[in-house]
Amino acid sequence: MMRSLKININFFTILMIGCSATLWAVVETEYLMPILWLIFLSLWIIIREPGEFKMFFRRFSQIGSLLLIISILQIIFRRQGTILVAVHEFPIVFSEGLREAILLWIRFMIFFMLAYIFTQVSLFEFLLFLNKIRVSLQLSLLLLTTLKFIPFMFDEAKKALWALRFRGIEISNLTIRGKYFTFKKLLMPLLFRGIHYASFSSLALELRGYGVLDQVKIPQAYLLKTQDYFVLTAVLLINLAGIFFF
Amino acid sequence: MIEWLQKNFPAGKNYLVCQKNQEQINSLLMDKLVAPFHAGRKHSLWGETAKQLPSIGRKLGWVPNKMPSIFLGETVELEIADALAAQEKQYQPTIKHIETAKNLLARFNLIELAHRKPVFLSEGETKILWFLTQWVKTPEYLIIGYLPSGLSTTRIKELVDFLIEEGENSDRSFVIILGYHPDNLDWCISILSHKDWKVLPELPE
Repeated sequence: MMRSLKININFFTILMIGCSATLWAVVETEYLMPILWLIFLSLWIIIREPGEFKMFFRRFSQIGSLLLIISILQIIFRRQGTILVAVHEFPIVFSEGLREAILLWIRFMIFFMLAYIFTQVSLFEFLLFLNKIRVSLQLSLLLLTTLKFIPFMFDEAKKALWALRFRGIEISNLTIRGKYFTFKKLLMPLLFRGIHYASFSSLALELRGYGVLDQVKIPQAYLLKTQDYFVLTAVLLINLAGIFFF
Repeated sequence: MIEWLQKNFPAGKNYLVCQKNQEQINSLLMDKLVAPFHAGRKHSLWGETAKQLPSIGRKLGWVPNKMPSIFLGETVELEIADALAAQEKQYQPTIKHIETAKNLLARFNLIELAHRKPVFLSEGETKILWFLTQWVKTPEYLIIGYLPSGLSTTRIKELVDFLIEEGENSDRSFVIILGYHPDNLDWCISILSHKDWKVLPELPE
């Protein structure tokens, strides 16, 4: 049984990791820095939630076939660099194509890991962070409501699909016309419930006095801790190493 | 699930089952039919349980205390009509289905709800609407976990009378299974002594 290590990390630290990893993943054309960030993020997930790492790969495998197709297209159509594989003197694989295909997988893995790490941050911590950097309350609430809205809609969609199936409707066996009607049947209540949820949430917020003041002083300190400084130093060192040595 | 029901609740009778608590039957069905849907992203939506659910849903009607899903119809009458249409393997309800839905609502003195949006119904009204959508499916088994929950005494009596009346109807082919708790027997006195109903002292294994 793997145990998870719950270390409370400040959102600012996670944001710094996210910005650095994304920048290196997008800009860098060599393997080293993206791989270094991939290792860093993998270790991050393994240390904090070892059980989730397996789940992460399962989720990543869902887009595996799509990535494979894009990689093959990269290999076929990027005809620059040295020839690595040739059949009867006809060049098939070029070094640039292969490199881009491999980097594509690394980039997507980095983005997936970052998305996972960001979803682990609680909405309240996010609010504390936004409040700390003096983002107006209206904008903070807009962002938070949007973030809260996604899992709500996902849950509602699950319930709607359950209702359809329990009615005896086998969605995969439907004709295109049937799928169209089923989609229409699902869409309307979901939209309605979404609007209903949003309007009631805003009413609840207004009743609690939100919006009266532009800036609210939340009586909770959101400071960087020792572990944050440790991680931020590691991030800084990786970035400096990338700039000066590689 | 269906095999277990066929083995323990043979057709020809309706059953009143004593439960350890008011949620015993509902919890059992919740674990079998709903919980796997929330177990994980991929498996919940298109996994094995999801694939099996339509075939179970055609044979089983279930009225829990708390609805495990959402209503898909824009109005109450369309919700019932849609369930009827689905039972007849039609994509959209016809006028005939809407008329049947209206008649059913009238039978429960709920005709004023016909054009209401299901999302705005009270807990009891929601339960009755869900019951009606399950009823029109004409499943092999109709399970009502604990009928009195969320309903007024008048509504409970109406429903019990409806079930007894329908239970006597020889055209109806499905088995009704009702859960009860020994602490509250008032609502099911008329069923306890009824010849068409069999009382089980506990939920079979």
